[in-house]
Amino acid sequence: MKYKESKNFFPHSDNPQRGDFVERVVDPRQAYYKVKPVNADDEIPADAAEFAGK
Amino acid sequence: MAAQPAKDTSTQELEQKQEWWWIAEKKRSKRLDYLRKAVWKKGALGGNYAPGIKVDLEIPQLFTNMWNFWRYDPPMLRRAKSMAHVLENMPIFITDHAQLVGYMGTLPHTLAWRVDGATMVNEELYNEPGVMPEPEQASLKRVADLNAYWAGNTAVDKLARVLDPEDAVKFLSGAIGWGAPTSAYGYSGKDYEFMFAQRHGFEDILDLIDQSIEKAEDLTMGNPGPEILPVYDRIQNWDAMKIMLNAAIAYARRYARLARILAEHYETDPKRKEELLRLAQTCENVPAKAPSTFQESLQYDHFVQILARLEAHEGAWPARPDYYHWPMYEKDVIKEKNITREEALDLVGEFMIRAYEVGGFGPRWAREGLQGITGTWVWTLGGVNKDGSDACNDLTLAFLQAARLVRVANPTFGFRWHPKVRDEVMREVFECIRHGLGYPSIRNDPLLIQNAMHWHGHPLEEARTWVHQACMSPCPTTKHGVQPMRMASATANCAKMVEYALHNGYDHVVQMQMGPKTGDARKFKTFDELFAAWTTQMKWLINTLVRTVNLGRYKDPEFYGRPFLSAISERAVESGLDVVSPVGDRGNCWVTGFTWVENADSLAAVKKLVFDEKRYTMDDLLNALENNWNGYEQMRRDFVNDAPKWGNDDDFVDGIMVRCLQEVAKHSREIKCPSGNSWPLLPENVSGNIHYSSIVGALPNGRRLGDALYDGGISPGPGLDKKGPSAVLKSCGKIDHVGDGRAFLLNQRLSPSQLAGEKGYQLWKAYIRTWADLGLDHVQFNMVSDETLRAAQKDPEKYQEVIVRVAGYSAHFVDISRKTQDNIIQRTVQGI
Amino acid sequence: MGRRDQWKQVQSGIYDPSLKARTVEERETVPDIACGLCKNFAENAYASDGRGLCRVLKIGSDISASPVVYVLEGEVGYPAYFTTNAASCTHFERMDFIDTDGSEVADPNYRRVQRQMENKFK
Repeated sequence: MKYKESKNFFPHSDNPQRGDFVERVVDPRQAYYKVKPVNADDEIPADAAEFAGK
Repeated sequence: MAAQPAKDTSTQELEQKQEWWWIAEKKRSKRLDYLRKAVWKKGALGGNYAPGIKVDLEIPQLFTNMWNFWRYDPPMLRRAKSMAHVLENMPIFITDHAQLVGYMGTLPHTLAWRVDGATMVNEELYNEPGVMPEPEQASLKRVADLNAYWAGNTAVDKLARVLDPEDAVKFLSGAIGWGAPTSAYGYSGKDYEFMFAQRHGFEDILDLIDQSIEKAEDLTMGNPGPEILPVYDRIQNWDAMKIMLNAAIAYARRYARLARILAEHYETDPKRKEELLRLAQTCENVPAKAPSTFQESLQYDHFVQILARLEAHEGAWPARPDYYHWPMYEKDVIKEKNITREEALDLVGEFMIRAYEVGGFGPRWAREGLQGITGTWVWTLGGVNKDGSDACNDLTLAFLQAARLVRVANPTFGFRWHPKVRDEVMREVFECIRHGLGYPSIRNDPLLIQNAMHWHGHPLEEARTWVHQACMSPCPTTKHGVQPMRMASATANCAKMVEYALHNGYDHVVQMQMGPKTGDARKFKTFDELFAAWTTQMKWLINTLVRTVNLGRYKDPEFYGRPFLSAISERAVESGLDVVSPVGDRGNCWVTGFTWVENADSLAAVKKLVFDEKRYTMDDLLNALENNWNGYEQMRRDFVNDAPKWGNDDDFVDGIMVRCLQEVAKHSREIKCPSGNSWPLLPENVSGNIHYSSIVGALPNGRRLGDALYDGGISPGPGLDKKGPSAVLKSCGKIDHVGDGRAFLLNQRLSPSQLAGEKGYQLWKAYIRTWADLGLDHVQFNMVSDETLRAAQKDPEKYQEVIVRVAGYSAHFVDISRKTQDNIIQRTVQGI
Repeated sequence: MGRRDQWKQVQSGIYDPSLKARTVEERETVPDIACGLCKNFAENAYASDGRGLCRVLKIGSDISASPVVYVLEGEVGYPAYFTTNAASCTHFERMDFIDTDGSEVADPNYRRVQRQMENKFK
């Protein structure tokens, strides 16, 4: 699956080929949202799970 | 998870048992409780990182890729472009319930790694157990590749090639000092006057830089001449600063965007949604613009600190939050009532938590010397305004109150006491100490202002802005007064002075001729011969360290370069020079004196038992020391019990202490920093007394190799101050706290039961008056009972939150090594 | 040899070994008879990356040469790494490891805190 196909991908308005991919992480101490800039056409790695929000 | 008390345990019961950490849990808001417990503690447990803490490899990789790409640029520009790439591409996160954001790693449990600082540290990281992210093999390969790229090309490598090789070898032996002579690691003062008092957001600074460039271009496009030649480099530096400021604004706006995405697409709770939108607005506004709300003020400050830590491994956190955030606090909480005091307290508590979670990978000596923490975040509270009036305000109280709610070991506070401090404030200070935090330390403000003017020529108004540059040293926050980079490698393991005087400069631990050959001590006939040897070793040791730091500071713009730090410093913005360059710096250097008091106690013991009373010969003594006192137990006891010890108001040993300090002070004026100012001594220890315990050989005070050294500064040896707290203060009062050195750390343990209630407060307040009257500049307290500390040793799980003052910083008791724990318990509990 | 040259030699022996070419495998290999296992090896007190000095041999020695060169007099110890192969060194004395978890504090003579040493203690 490509980033651009994910509902957790948010393209940049000035360059839709780039965007932010949001992940929800719950570690042993805290829960947080993490974001990293990605290319829309790149494949989502297996360890970056989809999530439906809170 | 720590065992909790029964739910119905009353606050009163907990107070009686002095289990203040449970009281904090009961009293703090749900948000603060969540955020406090969410922290991944980065301080090492003894010398090891806690399970689950991993090194961040993303940022070093992003940085290295771009550093290689921009290899034809000058250092500052190259760093700025590389850092801009990091800020644009590093993953960022927002913790649930957070209202303040920014971290120096990509995930909450990660340690930042300064990959271009020192090959030694990089290699140490490769070998370090437990810190590689999974999958470990892939991480090891990545680190090996990064290390291969940087080997020989880090800031320390570059400096080591320029240093005199003898100095380099001796400094890097680890026997005489620590720290690294580069701004890649160090304590950077921030020009708070420029950013906060003068209200410059980054866009304002960009305008100032553009004006400077315009003026510079008038020169470079005008008549040729030698005076315009340095201007070309300065324009490149200004370009670098601009890149960093723009990248920083964009970085903050990445948080704004994330907060807005979360509010609009994920968050269902309307209250949290509102908070996220406010956070988004905050990160839109700062650091681009000067802050206009209290939250923005704190967030601006935190971004500045994080950005500086993304640029370098900063080991301290000079700050004065109640002073510089007061205008926005006053506006929002007091004048306009935009937020309630409780809401403000939540922000203050979180502001402390955000600092507490910060951590970078440090070499083992740093971890052992700062057990339980990752740097000395000593924030300054109280003090006076530039006009000399009392600067304490309601935000001072809020910080003291929030500290008791969040109970973090880092940051801690140093409180600038002066005679005009209101009783209400003193009570809050005392409450923190009574709650066992070990902070604030108490600093004598009038005296330290005088000291700053005496040693470094700071004008009065400038001196009055001082903050703790690290644990102890006062340093202003102004254009010329700020010290942008204190390199910690002028930190002397002072016990080596007397050790080398006795061993002809030879170090039996590191197996090297270190100091000058001052003669076979077996042949010394008088105490003055020994003292002369001591003076020579003292000068050699300090000179070696200071030469190293001076060169490090001078060469730093070439070997490292700090575009962000420069961009937030008025001096650099105006001049176009890297702010670490000594040009325009008033100069505010000091030699940190670890393991200092051993000199006085050792010299006094030799004087009394060998030269005055002739109970032993120098031969006897040297034989005993060379055998680490093994086989000489009775003699060792004589040297412990029959020789006078510092801290008992005994003129014999106190006179030697003062004589030693005066010798150093005299030498301090003979040696100069790159700005031409003096290098006064500042005795203090952090947990260096434990780190050096196996590096300092046997000493005439009866100490064996491996025994903990004294806890430092001018604190008497643990358990050796037998004549009560007044005697300690009187001994310390014999030192001229202005002319004999830069500052003098004093640890004292007080009895929690004696200081309970109103009577306890009044006793403590009277003690502080005596302390001030005797002219001491510092004192800090542990007020946790032996009973609690011993219980914590037996059952650490139950006492996870017990905090103690180590020396110059606080730590959770369970995070320090057994030897350090014992050393703290051994300190005399003074009844006052 | 002048003072500066003498110390340059010491410096290059202690601090300038080329680490660039080492592969992960080379970094991970601790010989069965390694300086890190010897009681005469004292780690550097500044860097915990595994460098150190021999407490018996002095600079100028070479335990990888054939025949081994032993220098027993001098003002600086022989530089070695915890992974240095000491199979040919007649001064090798295996150390009994007691406190190996690194949670206590620096002792150049007895600490061995490197991850690669963990298997050697078991």
